[in-house]
Amino acid sequence: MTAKRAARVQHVSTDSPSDVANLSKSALKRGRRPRRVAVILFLLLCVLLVLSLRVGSSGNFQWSDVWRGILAMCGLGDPLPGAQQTFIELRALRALIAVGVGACLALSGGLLQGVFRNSLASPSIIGVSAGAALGASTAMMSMGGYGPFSPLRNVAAYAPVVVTGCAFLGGLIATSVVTRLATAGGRISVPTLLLVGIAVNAVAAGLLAAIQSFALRDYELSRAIVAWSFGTLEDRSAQQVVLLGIGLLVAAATIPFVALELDLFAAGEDDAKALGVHTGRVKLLALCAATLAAAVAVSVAGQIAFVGIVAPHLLRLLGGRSHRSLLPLCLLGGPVFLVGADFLQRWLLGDAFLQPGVVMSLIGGPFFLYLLVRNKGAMATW
Amino acid sequence: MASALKVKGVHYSYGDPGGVDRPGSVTDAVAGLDLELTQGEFLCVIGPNGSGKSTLLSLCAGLLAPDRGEVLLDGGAAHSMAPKERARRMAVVPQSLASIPSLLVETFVSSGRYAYLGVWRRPGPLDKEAVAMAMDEADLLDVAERSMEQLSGGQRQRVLVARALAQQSEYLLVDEPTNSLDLEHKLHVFAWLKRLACEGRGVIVVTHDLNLASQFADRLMLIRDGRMVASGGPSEVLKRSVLEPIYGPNLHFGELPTTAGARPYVVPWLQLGDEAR
Amino acid sequence: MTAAGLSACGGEAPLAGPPAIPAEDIPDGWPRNIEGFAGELELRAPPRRILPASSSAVDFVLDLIGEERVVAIPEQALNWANALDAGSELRDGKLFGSYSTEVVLGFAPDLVLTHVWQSANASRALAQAGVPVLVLPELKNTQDIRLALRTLGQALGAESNAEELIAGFETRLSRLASTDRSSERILTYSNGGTGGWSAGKNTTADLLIGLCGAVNAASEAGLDGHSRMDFELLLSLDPDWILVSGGIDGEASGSLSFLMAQKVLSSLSAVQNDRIISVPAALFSTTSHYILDAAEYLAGQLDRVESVDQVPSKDGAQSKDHDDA
Repeated sequence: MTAKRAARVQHVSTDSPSDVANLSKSALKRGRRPRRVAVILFLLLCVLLVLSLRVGSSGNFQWSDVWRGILAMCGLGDPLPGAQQTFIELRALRALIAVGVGACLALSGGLLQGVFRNSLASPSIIGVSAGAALGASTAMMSMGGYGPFSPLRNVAAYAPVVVTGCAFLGGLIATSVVTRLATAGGRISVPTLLLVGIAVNAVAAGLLAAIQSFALRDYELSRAIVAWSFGTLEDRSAQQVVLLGIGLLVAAATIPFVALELDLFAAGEDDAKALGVHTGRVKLLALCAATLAAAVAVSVAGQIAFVGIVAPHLLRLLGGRSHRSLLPLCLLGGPVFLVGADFLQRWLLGDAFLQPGVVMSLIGGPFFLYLLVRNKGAMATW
Repeated sequence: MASALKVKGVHYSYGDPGGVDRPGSVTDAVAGLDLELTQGEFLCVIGPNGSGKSTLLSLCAGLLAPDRGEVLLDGGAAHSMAPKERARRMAVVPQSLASIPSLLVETFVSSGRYAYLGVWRRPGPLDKEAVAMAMDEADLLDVAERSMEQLSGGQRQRVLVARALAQQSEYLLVDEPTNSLDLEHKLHVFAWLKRLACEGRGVIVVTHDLNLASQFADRLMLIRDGRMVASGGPSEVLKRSVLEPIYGPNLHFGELPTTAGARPYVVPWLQLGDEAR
Repeated sequence: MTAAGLSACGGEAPLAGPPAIPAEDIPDGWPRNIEGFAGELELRAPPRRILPASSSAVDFVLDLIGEERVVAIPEQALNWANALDAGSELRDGKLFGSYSTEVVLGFAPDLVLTHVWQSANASRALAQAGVPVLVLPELKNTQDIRLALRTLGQALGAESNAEELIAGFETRLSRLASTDRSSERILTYSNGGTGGWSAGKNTTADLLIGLCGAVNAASEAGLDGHSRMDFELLLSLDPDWILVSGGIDGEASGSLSFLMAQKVLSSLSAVQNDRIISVPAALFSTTSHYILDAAEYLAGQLDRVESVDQVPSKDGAQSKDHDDA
């Protein structure tokens, strides 16, 4: 045994340094891949943002006008004449909302998929979005409308915050119900998770419909609530952008504290625990962040399905599987996805004004099916 | 100075203990076990399937909270220690992973350093050194760049041990390390674990393999139905009077000499002649 | 089939279908065939148990024949019907919540009046149960209004009342047309906080604006039907007037307060000149001949402001007046 040990020591002294050097070099190469994907996504997002400034309901702008408008928004140069500067700013607001909502939903999906260790988890499938929408609708109902409709003027000023708060509560209740019911013996069973998700979605949709029929008396209110079920990016206010930004910032701030831990979760929760992960705290933190992100997205733009499931999945294929790269990439990939979908539909369909939820469902639905078919083998063992 | 892991009268049952529907009928997976391990000691826990060996290991590792009794690491309850503190002192080598993560071997071994990472989870030079040492120790440098999914059973086992080594803990709790390995690799793993114990770690290995246990362990502990049947040196446990009630009469006992004195062995043996007659 | 079976078992008070009418009670001119808007309809005798299933149907029936022969009205008519007097006995009488086969059959009507946008399944089931169902159209032009009145007059046996109403209608139409409002560009707008809508071509609101002789800015821009209207489009169309629905029960208009709360919309000329007209909800959404009342109301608002255009400060007070009214 001593001879063996000696040989080993020698082995270390001769080969090891170069091996270790190779090791870190290739690690560096690997580390660059998510970074490269991030750069590409960022550039793509910039292009999409500029493109979305060009296209709008009042018609397409000249490129030169778009640049002038952007410069004027930054405080450089003169604004465009007449209402055109306003148009550019409205389009920018819409794009910003799409960026925030896309980032929130993708981040939420990435976190949920990590916690549940399943790439089928997403805010809309396990009922978080529906719960948040229910919370938001309840708030809207009890305040008599969205924002300025409130009969109590002093409450109206805080309406978006109240609606978001209630959306968060609704989402949190849905999340905890799903988590509680799908957990058996410390493990989350995937079929149960999906079934509970279906049930929670159904209950939330039923309650939403009930609220709608109460709201029917008020035509405009009921239409506002209906719009919630497919989402909208139209005519959002700057206040909502700020709210979205704050929610996203808080949720994204948890990334450094849960990303590595979620990687360790991949080999099983007990295993992560043995490595020193405070599993309960990490799960709570990640679920709260996911719920908050989904809730602000829902309270600002309603339920937009599939961003939360498709975006993280694609990013996992592109940028490696570690949550340390996946979660930050979600902050870029989600926006690219939603801004892209929104731009495409306005560009291709013109004034059709399809709600983003519809477009996402049209893209996301088939993709989800593809995912199911591709994972057939894995699913057979559930 | 030397620390100690102490298990005192521990009970544990899965499901709700003393449930209303079947009062008293819930069998405890672990029913009143005592154990003491100091650094530098190699203890093997043996027993038939479902005897509660793995549950005992999880209790020792603080992953489960005992229903009754206590698991103490230097006087502190193991399951209520801060997870990171616990992981720096006790490393677990699981029998297998719930799912094989699609990580590179090096990344996987690095995860053993989790308990040492700071707020921003950035590995420092000490962490990198520990990982490199563990990989070298486990002879994994050639496969560092491979994905976990591409490894053979033996390599995977070494990766699991390497990760535990990266934890640089005082105690190593190993669950069935040789299940899917061939004879050569079995021997290799046990020899290695023994060496780790000699280097000053306290090692508990849960295993089916009575002979490997007899050859390398300082102490054996035989349990059945969550209770201790026998405990002591190999020759005190591996004898007919102890094993026959558990494994049946068809056993053949023998002895092999080692530098540390003669070690008993046992093989399942059915005299065909007896049957025929 | 079903109806026959039920009335045979039910004796004096049939559960469903029109009550049998003795041959001697059938007046001259009946049974008659009515050319309905969704196929031909045979009525054996003047209907005596009429059930108008929409608020606009209530408007038509009450103005044509009064309320004696009406068996029940829908609950929403309490808020949305224009012809229903505050003291009407129908308010305390039989109300129903939803237009469904079972509910309607319970009133044993011998004529049901419904609108195209109401449940076609219920209408089909009622017709199968032997209850005549007359489906009223959405109003898209003045001819639709005349036709609706004339057809209903025939069905209810009130032809002369119908002609009288039509004659009055023509007088009021020409009175409306006597003032030229063709330079006024009007846009309807509603927004519940999740995106705006406007009525383009082929909508009742388009007819309403047309009756005043004004221009629907949405139709002018080529929008058809009820269309989405985001801030950008609204700003680029920049209409002279914006038409919103008032709240029910005298509540303030939701769309009005939404419009006023948006900073980015403050550059709209209609907002700057306080030219937002809130039409009472029941008039704004009517699909009955009361659309003329709505048009007269709208014209009144347009003309009032036109006549005091020199005093802009008064404008604001005026457009807010009818909110409280």
